[in-house]
Amino acid sequence: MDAQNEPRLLFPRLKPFYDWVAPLTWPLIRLTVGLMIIPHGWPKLMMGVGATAQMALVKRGIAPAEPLAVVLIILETVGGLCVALGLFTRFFAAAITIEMAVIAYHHLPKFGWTGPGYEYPMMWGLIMFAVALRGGGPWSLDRKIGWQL
Amino acid sequence: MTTITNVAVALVAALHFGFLVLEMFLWTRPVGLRTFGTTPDFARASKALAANQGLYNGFIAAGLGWGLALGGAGTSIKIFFLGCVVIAGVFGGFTASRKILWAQALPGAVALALVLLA
Repeated sequence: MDAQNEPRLLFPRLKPFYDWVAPLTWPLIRLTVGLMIIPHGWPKLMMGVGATAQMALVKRGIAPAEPLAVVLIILETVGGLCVALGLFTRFFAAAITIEMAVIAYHHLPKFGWTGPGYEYPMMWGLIMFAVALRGGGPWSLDRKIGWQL
Repeated sequence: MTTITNVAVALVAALHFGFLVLEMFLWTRPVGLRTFGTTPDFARASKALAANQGLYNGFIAAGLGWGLALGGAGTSIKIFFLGCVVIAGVFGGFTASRKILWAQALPGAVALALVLLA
């Protein structure tokens, strides 16, 4: 199967439009997964390291809770911002993928997010995984800098 | 009020993280040259100095983040680092470029005023 060739368009006149928006789809994904994580990080930053450690880590038996709480807060504030801007994209997307994998694991075996299950963190983690594989892509600061992980 | 203050402090922190990126990673790139109005030759010659300066901006961002994470207990930390921002902005404004007054000192002063009033 040829993964590179796009199928024939039923409405060929749409081709210029598709060509125009194609480079914008990746920043849209980056902005979505990056910015949507900040409302999760901001309250943790506001409640502080100790309270975040208690709320998110100690009750699940994850140690060392306080250093990991600092990591969580940084990933969900600075990390989200960086993924959105496409800055050091691979590093932060990979780190958030690991975070989401741990969160998903701790919600097993329930699936539905209202459970709460692993549905939402798994979806988030998989998209972050894709971002980590692809890197900053179009409209990223990584491209302005000229090198990436 | 507290939320507005915290958001203002976070924005000043993000701004300084932005300065870090500009000075450490974009200094000799087109964006950096345009932002600071430098020539490629000057930028290449001053790359190491700029990278060091950018790193220190990162410490300001980290300090403001630290103050935010401590909540009410972090007020003095926020005041210290915002004070640094205002002084750095005024010093830069008089010695390097007038623009720094608007880009650094003003946002820092607004956030500092909010912290002091809160």
